[in-house]
Amino acid sequence: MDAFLADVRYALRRLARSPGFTLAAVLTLALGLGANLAVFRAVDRLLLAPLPYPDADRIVTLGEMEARKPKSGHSTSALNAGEWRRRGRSFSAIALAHGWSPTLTGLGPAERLTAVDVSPEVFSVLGTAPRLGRPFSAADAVPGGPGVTIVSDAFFRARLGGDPAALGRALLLNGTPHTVIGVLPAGYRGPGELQAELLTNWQANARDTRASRSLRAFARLRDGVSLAAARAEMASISEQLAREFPADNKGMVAELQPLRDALVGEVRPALVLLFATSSLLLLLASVNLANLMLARGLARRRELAVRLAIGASRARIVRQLLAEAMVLGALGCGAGLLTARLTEAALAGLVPETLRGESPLDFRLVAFATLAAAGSLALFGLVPALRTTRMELRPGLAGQASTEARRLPDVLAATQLGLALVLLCASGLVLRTLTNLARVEPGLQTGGVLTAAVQLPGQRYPEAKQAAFYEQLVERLERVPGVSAAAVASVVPYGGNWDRVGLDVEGMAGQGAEAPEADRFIVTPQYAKTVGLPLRAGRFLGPEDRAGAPLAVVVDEVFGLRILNAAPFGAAEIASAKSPATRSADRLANVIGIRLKLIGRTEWATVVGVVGHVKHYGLDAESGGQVYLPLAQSPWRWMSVFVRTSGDPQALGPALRAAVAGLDGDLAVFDVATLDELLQRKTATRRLAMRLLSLFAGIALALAGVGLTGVLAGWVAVRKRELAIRLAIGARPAEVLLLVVRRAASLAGIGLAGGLLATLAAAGLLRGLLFQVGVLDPAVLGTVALLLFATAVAAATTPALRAARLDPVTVLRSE
Amino acid sequence: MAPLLSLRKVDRWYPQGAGRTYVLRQIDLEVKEGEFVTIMGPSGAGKSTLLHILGMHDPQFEGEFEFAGEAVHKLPSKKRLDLQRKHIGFVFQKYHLLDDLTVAENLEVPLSYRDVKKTDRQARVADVLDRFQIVGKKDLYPAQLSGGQQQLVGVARAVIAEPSLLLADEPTGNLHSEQGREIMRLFKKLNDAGATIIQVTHSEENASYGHRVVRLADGWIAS
Repeated sequence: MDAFLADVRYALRRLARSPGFTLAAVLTLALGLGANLAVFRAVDRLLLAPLPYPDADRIVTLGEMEARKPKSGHSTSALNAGEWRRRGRSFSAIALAHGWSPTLTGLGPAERLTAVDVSPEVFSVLGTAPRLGRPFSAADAVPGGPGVTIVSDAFFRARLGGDPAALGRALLLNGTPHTVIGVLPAGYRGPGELQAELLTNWQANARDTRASRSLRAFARLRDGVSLAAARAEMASISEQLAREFPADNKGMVAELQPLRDALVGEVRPALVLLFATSSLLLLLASVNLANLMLARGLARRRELAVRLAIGASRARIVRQLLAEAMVLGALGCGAGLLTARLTEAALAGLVPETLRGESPLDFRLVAFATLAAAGSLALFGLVPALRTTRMELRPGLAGQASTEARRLPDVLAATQLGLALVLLCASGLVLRTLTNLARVEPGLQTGGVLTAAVQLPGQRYPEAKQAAFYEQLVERLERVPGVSAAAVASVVPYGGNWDRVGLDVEGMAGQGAEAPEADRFIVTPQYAKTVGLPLRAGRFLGPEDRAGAPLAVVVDEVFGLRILNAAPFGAAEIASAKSPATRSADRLANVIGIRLKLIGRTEWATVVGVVGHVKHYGLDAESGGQVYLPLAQSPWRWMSVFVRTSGDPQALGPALRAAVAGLDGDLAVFDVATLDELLQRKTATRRLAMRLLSLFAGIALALAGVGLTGVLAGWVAVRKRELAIRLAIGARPAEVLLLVVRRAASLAGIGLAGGLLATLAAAGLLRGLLFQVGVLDPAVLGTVALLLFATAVAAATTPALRAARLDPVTVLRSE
Repeated sequence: MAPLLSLRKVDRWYPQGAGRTYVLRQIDLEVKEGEFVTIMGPSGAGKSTLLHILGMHDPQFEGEFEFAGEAVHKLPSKKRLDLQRKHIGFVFQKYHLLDDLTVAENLEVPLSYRDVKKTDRQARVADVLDRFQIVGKKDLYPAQLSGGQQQLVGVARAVIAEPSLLLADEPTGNLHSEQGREIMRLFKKLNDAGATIIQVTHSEENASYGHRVVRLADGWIAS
């Protein structure tokens, strides 16, 4: 211990005497460790830390999907969920949930809240209970019964004064009273839809059919039942339901997902990629540091040889060098925790609401930081220490290094360049992806359009009044200065919500459960003009499509082509000298006049027009197509308003709210956003990944460049005599300079080759993020290779100039 | 009395292309305890090589080397280094002090490598500082000392662990004459006190301080 402390004291003294080296080393380690720790924190929250529920690994989400279309959905109907409860033995409880956004009135200004209708089993599934009041009971789920609500702790404190006497008070939600019966625990964080300000009592709707798949289901596995066994049972039940209720259940299967997978599935690929790249950065930082330590060790060969000569064992010298590395490691770790904070802020967007919150310095983080630092230390401390002490004494006393010892820095420098190339490629490929996505037509003219949700309470707005309200609202908005067009629609494009319906196509094979599905948009006639939806054939919906008139529908070109390509359609192609676009338009015109009917309805609607396809789910996501129905013929009370302006759409916010308030002061206006913003959010994960990858790649390239400069400087120092002789016997300074630059280029070449192999090996990690670009994209590789060589040449500049300026007389005389 | 060390038929060579370059040829040498031996010869004669073999820094030789009854040529590396640590003190031509340590710390380092307890180390360092009359310089760094002072510290470092054998490779080579004489007088004093010393030198004056001279020429013992 005494000797170790002496080594540490000596190490501190040495490091204090070399502030430049110490600062470079600490910064290098801080950058590498900091990025790694921050990403690990996100990984920990999302993938490793226990979910905030007892035995959370026993909680699953339940849903139904089309057997032929995995990932086609994850909701269910009340009737099917009831069958699961009756027939299944795998679950101790199945809870149903349906998110909604009521407007709270009577408690200050009208305010839109987040709420979720839940069945009474919810607390059994989550393993929690209200901290005040009571949970939902079976009586609360009886249709027609009174509305009740359990409020979040934050809502209880903010809006109800934190007063227990508020229990029993009624809240007006969309005009309907809901009695407060309980308060959730302070730390409650519900998964997915269950994270809301209010939990309200779900009641079955008599009009719902088995095909009314609007509910989310959460279940807790019964003790002793495995996920595989539960899946097998649910598959069997699905078969039974498909046989007994083929109209609604044929082709549908139940799907179980562990709760964690359901919460984080979408961001997992991005997170895994980020963890891999940040680990790469740490590895690169360690290699860089190893090279610095090695160079330092080579410079200290004489000192180390003397120590060996006066009695030190090799193990003792290694221990001394390790003490220095440990001191550096400790300083770097401390600085790394600071830089971790900065990177963490950038990663916050990846973490779902449920899993946010302060994550204290817990065992896993400390263990990871220790492991990362130890791993780094082994590379940059131990390897150089072992290499440096492997020397023969006499050459060591003369300050000479073996050929093998001189080769290692080259290997490390090439390795750094290779690692930097991997990060640069990843960053370049994601950038290329974003560029490709930017070229994809979103389907609408999104610039200048503001949208906001305005939903009508059912009690005050029966079907007969719904369309009239929204039409009046549109008229008011059209009169606002600056507004060139206004409309309403039931779904906001790119907004994250969807309303998918099955459609019977008259005369087409595939009805009922096998009928094609499309996304439904209920709109006013001005919609196409307001959002810039292009017309391909026929006409858009108009004032003539009123209540009582023949039902009209407009389809998009994707759905139109699906109809045309299906039997018995597929009218003869119009092959002519016309342009492909015109031929396509002619073909789409064949859709006009075809009749469609929503599954479960009796009335047929006639296709009156075909419009362009909208990339509603994202620029790289496919969908089955869209259909547009007139609001006047399909009353709906959950609409969003759209206003177009040639100026700044955000400036229309106050006027929009005023127009709504002028019609009804008790309506909330919420989810205000421009279409451009909504579209941007679709690429948010990729843009975040690109920003971080670019940051890591930039740091990696800088570290590699600095490392290479050090290696080349060492190379010049060792070969000073040789270079001096070359100059003495006639070499031009430029030729000596080129020697150094060629050496840098050859190391870059080795790094390039190794980096390419590593990039290929890591291809799998990247694929989930890429769009229309291969892993070995020539443009990206070419640019990255040029950047790498440019960095190598820049790194060679100082040592090359120093070599070229050697005075042969001075050098040879001193030798 | 048995010699402290003996070399029999020792060769040392380096590979050169397909052949060998011999630095030492068939060296036979015995040194008794308490002797002060000087090894002399022209440049390239093999003097320093011989000294480093005697100091057990260089194990790559052929022949027999016995030291204090141990067959050094048969010892595995660890045992050889243990023997070296126990018995040998080395004085270098270029002093080779540790630049980042003070005089006192330079003296303490060999004791720490020999697992001497801290309290004992401090006592012995104080004793040697006093003996060599460098107490006032104990907190200075080598860069703050003259050449002669540095070599003085080098000698002190070599003897602090009380070795059986003191080896000195051109100990006055980097000093001016008066400093060199001071060092040689010190060696003489140590020898009078019982230390066995082998030095390599070009200087006849330095050689006169010893009991006998071994002359090398082209790797052979000439006389």
